Amino acid sequence: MIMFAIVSILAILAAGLALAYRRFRLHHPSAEGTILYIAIVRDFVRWLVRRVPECLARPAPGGWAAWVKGFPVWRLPLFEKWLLICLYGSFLYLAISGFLFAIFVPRGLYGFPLVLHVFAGAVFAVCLTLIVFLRARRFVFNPGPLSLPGDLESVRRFRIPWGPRDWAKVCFWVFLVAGISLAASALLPMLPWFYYKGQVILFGWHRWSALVSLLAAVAFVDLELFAPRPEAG
Amino acid sequence: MTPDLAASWGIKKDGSLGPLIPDFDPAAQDKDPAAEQRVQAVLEALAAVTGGAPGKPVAVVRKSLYQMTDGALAFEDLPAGLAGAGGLGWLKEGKILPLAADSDVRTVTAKAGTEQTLTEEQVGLVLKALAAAEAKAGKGDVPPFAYFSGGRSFRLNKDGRLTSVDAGEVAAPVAWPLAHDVRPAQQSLGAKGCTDCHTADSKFFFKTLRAAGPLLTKNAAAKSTTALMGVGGLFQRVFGLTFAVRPWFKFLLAVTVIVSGAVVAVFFLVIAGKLAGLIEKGS
Repeated sequence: MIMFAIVSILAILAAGLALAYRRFRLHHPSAEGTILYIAIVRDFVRWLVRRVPECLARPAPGGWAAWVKGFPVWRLPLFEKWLLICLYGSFLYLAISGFLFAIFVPRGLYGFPLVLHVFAGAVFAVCLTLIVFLRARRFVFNPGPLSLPGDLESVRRFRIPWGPRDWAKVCFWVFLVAGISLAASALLPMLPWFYYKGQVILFGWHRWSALVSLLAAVAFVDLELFAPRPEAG
Repeated sequence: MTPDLAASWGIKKDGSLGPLIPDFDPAAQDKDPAAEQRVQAVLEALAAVTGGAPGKPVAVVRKSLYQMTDGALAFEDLPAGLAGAGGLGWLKEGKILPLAADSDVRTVTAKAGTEQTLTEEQVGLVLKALAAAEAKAGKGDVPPFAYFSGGRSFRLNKDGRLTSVDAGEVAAPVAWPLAHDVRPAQQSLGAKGCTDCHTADSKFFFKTLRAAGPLLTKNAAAKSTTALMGVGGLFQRVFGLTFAVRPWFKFLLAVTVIVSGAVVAVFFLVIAGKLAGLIEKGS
């Protein structure tokens, strides 16, 4: 599973850089006019070098506790609040335990972390099912009917109508599909249908689904929950 | 069902126990000749004991003393000096010794039904005899003798009582593979499911094994199978417990997959319907 470890590390780094670059472009629209890639990269690296310590040094008033208390989730109604907290908490533990062991421990996940992983998986499955009914409607796409363009000029001008929240919607549905895939790849090995080879395939399926799920979750959190706001000044 | 009997020599016949020598009145005119024939057979058998019979075999029945005299069974009134004696015994120097020494009876009854061949009492006697022999030979400074069994070392303490300590590596358990550690599929672990091993009280993980040995003792070394395998007992117990709720976990995951999967399928169908104009935009 060295391949999985390498791909996971690279994918997580790439996702982080891509999301950071997106914020950089939002905060520096002047970069749009630059055609020198080296200049863009230089400005991006400078911005990144400046922002990383700022993020780590955050939050100024009240410290980390006040920063966490400022999350919108705490202002939600009781049941919705705890549903989301359980979803976030269980997924956080699943991701941390799963990827730490998958990447750094040759044996993989075992012992009490594995027992907790299974328990968190059950909590995550329940929350995911409820979220589908309570939140999925907010992330539905609403395209109009397709029609053929009238002429070549229309084809040239055609753009897929893509709103600012559409990437977050995509992330939500990818996260949902990956979550279902995770549940299926956890369920099937417990059924007496697969021999060793099948178990190995399902194990790999579970890991790759987890990677997709993690990337979708990271992107969703960045795009939706911590949507970038223009920097002051 | 065998009635309760006082400790005595008996005979087992047709599944029931009875006294080896039945009670009868030797002085009676109509006594059962079979009873005296039984006495004679027993005394003849005892007389044939070779190698250390402590005396002449006799049987005390009520107030009469039976013994073999010139090849024939004879009885006489129990001498006054033997008043209170009863049953079978050895007549020696005017005294009746028990047919078997008390220590022999204790040893035999203790070992009955077990695979052990020695008792702690026997080991203690041997160790005492060895120590006495050494002392007699003037070797008082040699290390004390010890007997190893069941993973422990048995020695005599200063009071002459048998004590045991962990024997360490000298008596460490060894793996003894049988049939190359291969079993028919139907007997192999896991053939009947995960719970062959993974339960809160699984014998595979939580059975306490007592070290085997020829000595009948309560002080044999004991180890849990988790300790022998070098795995965490607490984890295996917690992990085994999870299998009690595993059917519910499977059900939960199945519901998640089916219900959420259905919603995702509807999502894609709705998009397809909108793109096809079958569903009005915004609905």
